[in-house]
Amino acid sequence: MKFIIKESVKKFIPWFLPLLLIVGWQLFSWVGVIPERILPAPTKVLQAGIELLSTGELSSHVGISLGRALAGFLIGGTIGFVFGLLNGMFKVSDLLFDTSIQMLRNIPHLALIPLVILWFGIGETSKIFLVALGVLFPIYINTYHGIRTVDKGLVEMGRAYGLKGRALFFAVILPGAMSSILVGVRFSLGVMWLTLIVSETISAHTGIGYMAMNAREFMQMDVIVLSILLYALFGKLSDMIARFLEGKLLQWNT
Amino acid sequence: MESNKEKYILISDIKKSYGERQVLKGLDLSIEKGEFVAIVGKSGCGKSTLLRLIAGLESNDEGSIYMNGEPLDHLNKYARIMFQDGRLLPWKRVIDNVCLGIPDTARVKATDALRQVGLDERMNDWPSKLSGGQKQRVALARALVHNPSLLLLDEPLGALDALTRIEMQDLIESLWKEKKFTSILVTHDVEEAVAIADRVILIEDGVISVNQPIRLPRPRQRTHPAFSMYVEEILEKILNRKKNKITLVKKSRKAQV
Ligand SMILES: Nc1ncnc2c1ncn2[C@@H]1O[C@H](COP(=O)(O)OP(=O)(O)O)[C@@H](O)[C@H]1O
Ligand SMILES: [Mg+2]
Repeated sequence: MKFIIKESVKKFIPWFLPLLLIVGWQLFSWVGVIPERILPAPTKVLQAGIELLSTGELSSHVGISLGRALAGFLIGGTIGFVFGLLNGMFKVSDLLFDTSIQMLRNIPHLALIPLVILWFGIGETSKIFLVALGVLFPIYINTYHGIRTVDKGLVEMGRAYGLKGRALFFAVILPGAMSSILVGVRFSLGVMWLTLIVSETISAHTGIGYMAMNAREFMQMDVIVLSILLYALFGKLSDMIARFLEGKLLQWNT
Repeated sequence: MESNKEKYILISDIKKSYGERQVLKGLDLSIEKGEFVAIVGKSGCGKSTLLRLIAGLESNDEGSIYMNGEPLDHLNKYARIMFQDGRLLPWKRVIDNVCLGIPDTARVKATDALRQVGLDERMNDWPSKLSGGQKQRVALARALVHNPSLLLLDEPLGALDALTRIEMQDLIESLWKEKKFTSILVTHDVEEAVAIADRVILIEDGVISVNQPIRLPRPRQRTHPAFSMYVEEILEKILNRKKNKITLVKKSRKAQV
């Protein structure tokens, strides 16, 4: 027998397991196999979400977390990108900076949390700083590597056809490095969430991580689970953004 | 120095080394305007190196290259080069590849060039969607759009199948006749060299060891006895065979160097 999978069905298949999990979870909660103090039912979590949404608490925490993530990503990403470009293209800059950056890279940035708290307190700066630091290195390394491995033949061809400076950069070097740069972007989006979760959980007054830690004090299991689900959702979202960028910028590669 | 000025390209005593290895060892060559010269020689003998020196993509260690009576420094502005591997930018559509290095306002010229190589219908495709022969035709259009007075061809047909090759040879020859540019073709196929060039040059040991004008009317008939004589003579010199071994060469006339 032959199975022909329709397009519409194909789209649904990846969601089948998560859905099954939620339905199973709900059923077991109803029957009482999963005690509420271990794991509240999905409906309970949803209810908590709606409640927090109505008080405006949820959107304010989510907004703050997203803001931190974005700010840290932009700052760290820009610095990593610029240094990756410079060190990839210019010998002087490479000699001057690469060794130092490689050394810094080997320090786990989360190990800096105590120091960062002493420096910046537990305000916005400390979180944005940590996210930026975490994001910087994957972007740097992949940009650097991408620029370094651009096909020399294509660069020579570009020069032979009269391109130089900016024109050569935008026509040959940057597009040639793009797939590697996007690998860096994808990876750093993961680092971004991880850093944010850890730093918000350890020290914050606001944000999704704080919401979870605060709920723990009041034994609000539903809010804790809600926070975790939110992180999962945002992780999936940033993955979709990365995919979108790849589809747009690497169109020729399909 | 007056005689220098008469030659379109005048190369005297150039030497070029890569590290310890001297590739060109005092090579002399002069080329007239409008001439079609083919360069043959064993793999690694320095054909591409010579072409890149003429294109101004690299500089020679010793000797001089005069182009149109002026010493060549930096990029050769008269020349456009077509590479063995095509080197289309995979992230640019066919038309944008052809537009490389020309102002945006000259897009019409790019379309014309694509039409000349018979690929105007594929102008919005990605290069990865083209066959090997089509890619090389796009690369040819990209070179032609600059109206070069010197076209450098570095084994552009090496990777193509026999039929596509002959088609491309005819295309290049007809464009050369029409546009009257000077052309230097590097090839490992002696038959191709004899079919298309006014003169065939053999590089051996870093110098030119054979400089053979081909005095055959165009369009050239490959079946013409004089044609195969030229091919055999050049092959013989490349392979350093004695006269009595020519029969061997005859059997494998398509022998590639
Ligand atoms: N950029 C380079 N660096 C080092 N060696 C090179 C370089 N380019 C060419 N060579 C060497 O010079 C010799 C001639 O190369 P080339 O001109 O490409 O030969 P071919 O006649 O096959 O085109 C070869 O031995 C090659 O290895
Ligand atoms: Mg070569």
